[in-house]
Parts: sequence; C-alpha cells; structure tokens
Amino acid sequence: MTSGLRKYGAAYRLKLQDTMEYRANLVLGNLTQFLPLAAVLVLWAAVYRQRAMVAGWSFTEVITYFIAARAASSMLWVSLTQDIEKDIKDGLLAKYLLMPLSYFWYWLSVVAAEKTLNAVVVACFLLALGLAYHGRFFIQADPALLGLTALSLLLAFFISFCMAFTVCMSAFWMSEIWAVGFTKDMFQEALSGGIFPLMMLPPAIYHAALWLPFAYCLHFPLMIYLGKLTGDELARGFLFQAGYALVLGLLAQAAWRLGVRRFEAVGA
Amino acid sequence: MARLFRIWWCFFKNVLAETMSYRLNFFLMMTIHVGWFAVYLATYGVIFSQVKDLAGWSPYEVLFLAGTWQLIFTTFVGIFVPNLSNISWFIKTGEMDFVLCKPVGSLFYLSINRVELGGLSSMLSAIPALAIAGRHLPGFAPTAWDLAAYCLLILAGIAILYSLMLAIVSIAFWATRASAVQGLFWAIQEFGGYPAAIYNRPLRWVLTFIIPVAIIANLPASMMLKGLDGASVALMLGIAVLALVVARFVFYAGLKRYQSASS
Repeated sequence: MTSGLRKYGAAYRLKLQDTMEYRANLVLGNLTQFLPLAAVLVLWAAVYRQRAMVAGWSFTEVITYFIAARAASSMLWVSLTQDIEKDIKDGLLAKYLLMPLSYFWYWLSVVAAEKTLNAVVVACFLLALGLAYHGRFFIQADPALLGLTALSLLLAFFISFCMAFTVCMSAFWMSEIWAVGFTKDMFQEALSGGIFPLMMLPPAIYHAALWLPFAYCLHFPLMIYLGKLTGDELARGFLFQAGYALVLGLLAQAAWRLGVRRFEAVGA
Repeated sequence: MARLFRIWWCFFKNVLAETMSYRLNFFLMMTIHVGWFAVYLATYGVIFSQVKDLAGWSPYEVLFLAGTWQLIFTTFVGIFVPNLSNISWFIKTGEMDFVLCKPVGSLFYLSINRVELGGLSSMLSAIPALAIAGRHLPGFAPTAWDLAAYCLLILAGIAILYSLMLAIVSIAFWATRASAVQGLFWAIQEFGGYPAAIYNRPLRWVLTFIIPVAIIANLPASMMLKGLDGASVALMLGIAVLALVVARFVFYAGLKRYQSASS
C-alpha cells in the first residue's frame, strides 16, 4: 500500500512539475474554456427576457449552472485518446509493461495531477468572478452540501476517467480510435448536462438519463451544489454514482487485461 | 482555375481512398456531426417547451435558421477545418517549408489539401430540417430566384467562416506557441447559430461588421423567410468579399514573418 502510494505519488508530482513549467499555457488554456459560454449566456438571457422562471429555474441559477458546468468540466473532462493510442500503436507501452506499476493507476495519477492544477486555476477565476459580480451568482452556503458536492466531484472524476480509459483500450483492436473517442465525448457532453440542464428535459427523458453513467459525470454534482435535490434523490444519486464508479473501474481493468494480450509491441 | 480544380480532384480522390479504408471512422464521424445537430436542436426543443418564441422567431423559423447554419457549418467543417487547423502546427514545426516548396499557391494548398468526408456528408442532415420547417411555415413558397440567392448567400457564409478562421489561425505567425488562439475561433462561431435578434444593438453591430459571424446563417434564412431583399444580399456578398481580402492579407503578412523552425 505504501509503496503504491509512493510510486503513484511520484507520477503525480512529476506531472504537476511538468505542467507547472508551462504556466501561461495552463492559465490561458483554462480561461479560454469559458469563452464559448458568452453565446450560450446571451441565448438564455433572451429566453429569460420573456419569463422570470423557466422550468422552475431562475436566471441566476441558470447562469450559475452554465459557469459551474464549464468550471467542473475542466476539472473532470478526461481525454486520453491521443496519448494512449500513441503508446499502443508505437509500441511505447512496452516500457510500462516492464515497470512494476499498473498502467491504469499510473494514468489516473497523471491525469489527477493535471486536473488538480486546472482546479486551482479555475477556482481562482471563479473567486474573482464571484467578487466582481457579487450577487449575480448562486452561492451555496450550506457546508454539508458543499462537502457532498466535493465528494461527488471526486467520484465524477473517477467515472469520467474510467470511461475515457476504457474507450482508449479499443486501440488494441482498432487502428484509429479518434472517432470512437469523439462519439463518447458527444454522448458525455450532451447526457451529462453540459449543453443544457438535464432537469429541463421532458420528465421521461430526464429519468432515463439518470440511469446512464453520464449523468454522474457533471449533472449530479452540479445539482447538489445548486441544492436542487431532495434527501431521497441525494441518497439515490450517490448510490448510482458509487455503483457506476465501481462497475466502470472494473470494466476499465477488464478491458485492459483483454486488450494487452493482443499487444504486439510494434516498433519498440 | 481548371488546373486548381484538377489538383483539388486529386486530393479528393486520395482522401476518398483513405476514407473507404477506414469506413467505421467515416460512419462514426457522420453520426457525430448529425448527433451534434440533434443536440443543438434539442437545446431549442428545451427552450421552446418553455417559451412560444425567441426574440420574435417562431420555432419553425428557428428550425429553418438551424438547418441553414448546419448546411453552412458542416460544409465549412468538412472542407476547410482539417486544413486550416493544421496551419499553426506547420508554422510551429517548420513543416511550412515543404508547403512553400510546392508548385502551387501556398494558401490554396493549405486551404484544401484534405477533406473530411464524414463531416461533409453530414450536411445532408440539414435538408430534412429545412424541409420540415418550410412545410410548417405559413406562406413559405420560395421562387427560383429566392433559391438561387439562398445558394449564393450560403457560399458567402462559408467564405466568411473560412476568412474568420484563416485570420485567427494566422496569428500563429506572430505567436508561435499560442495554441489557445484556435479556441477563439470556436468561441466566436458559437454566435453564428442563434437568431441575431437575441443580441443587443452594440453586440449585433459588432457581430455584423467587425466579426461578421451573426449574418452567416441569419441573412440567408431571413431572406427565405421574409422575402428577397436586394440590399441585404448585396451587404452579405460585400462583407464576404471584404472578409476574404482581409484574411488573405493577414495570412500573407504573417507568412512574410515566417522564419522556419530550427532544423
């Protein structure tokens, strides 16, 4: 256990240092994520010019939702397609197979380091935004809900990582996987509530979406933060989120074990 | 011109052969583009389940606008994005050297050497949207002239998108490491798919004359919905030509600064 912590801790630290070398890129990359929001907010402002409440949401809540969704995405969105595809196609994977470490936990540590720094940058930005536009956003003050949001964000990150990792494993079977990656991204973006709040969908579609893992990548933590869930919904949500974290974690490992048997170390 | 078309046809045949050997990717890419269109329409679905109109646009008018945007945007994405998005990479790595050595105009080569057929074929998804919207719009009976003008404005829209992206990626000539500049284009194009009426006056002015993204789909769609208006058609064609000239100027001004990478 301790040797594991040391190994993956080292991978985590190395990635932190590596990313910190390109600080300007880190800050710019995270802040430009917020640019596409401009058009979305203008669109919703036009909707709210006609009504004070839309599907039970106030304008303040919707603004908070979209900004928080964008912020959470830069901490949660995992895209490994290029890196892992390169490892598998160019035979670089052989290097990792010889090391006494798990490829899954290694990448999890590396991505976690990246996301930690993203979280710091985004948190500073949100703080500045909150101070500059005091009162225009919904600020959750209940410490219990804030704690649950943080816990749910961690689980969401793990689920998002497992999905990305599993999709990358298709590189053992296919020669190009970017299209598969894009397909997953599309479903994840739309069904996790990245485009519009899932709660605004017709009830039947909304409830169906709650059965899929995507809802627990973004929608669920955001709803906790906004205080939109009842006690029962919270409990049910965490049950689903933890369940999906377990199932998708096992699925990712199984996909790895199946795939690596086909690895031919071409070019290594 | 005939020579350029022959060259383009060669590129196209190459890509076709390549695409046909990775058929699954082709179908997935087509599905993705159609899927994004569905998601975009679902956003409007959510909005119109709550309000009756959007800044004066009825649901079917918005559907017509969305179809027009899809037609312009997917054609642009299929033909130009795979090329223009490579420019900053060519500058950074010095691969631009090979482009400059080719016996064909560098801007021509950089603009059209690849086609993304999955994206391009997904423009067909715009047609049912336009047809459904047209059938439900009262008094919608475009004449042959309307259709001809519509097609012309679609081409002008593609030209404006091309100019915007070319000008933005050319920034890489001045700031080689600015990988974030392309994000600027993707943020700007978001303003293209919505009714321009939702923007306030100053924003609409900026999005018409400075960064002319709001007129790309709005003008052709409005023209079809509200009748042929010569002044608007002329305005859009003028802006498209001007945008092309400016973008070309920015690109060549940048190219003069190109120093190649150390090799």
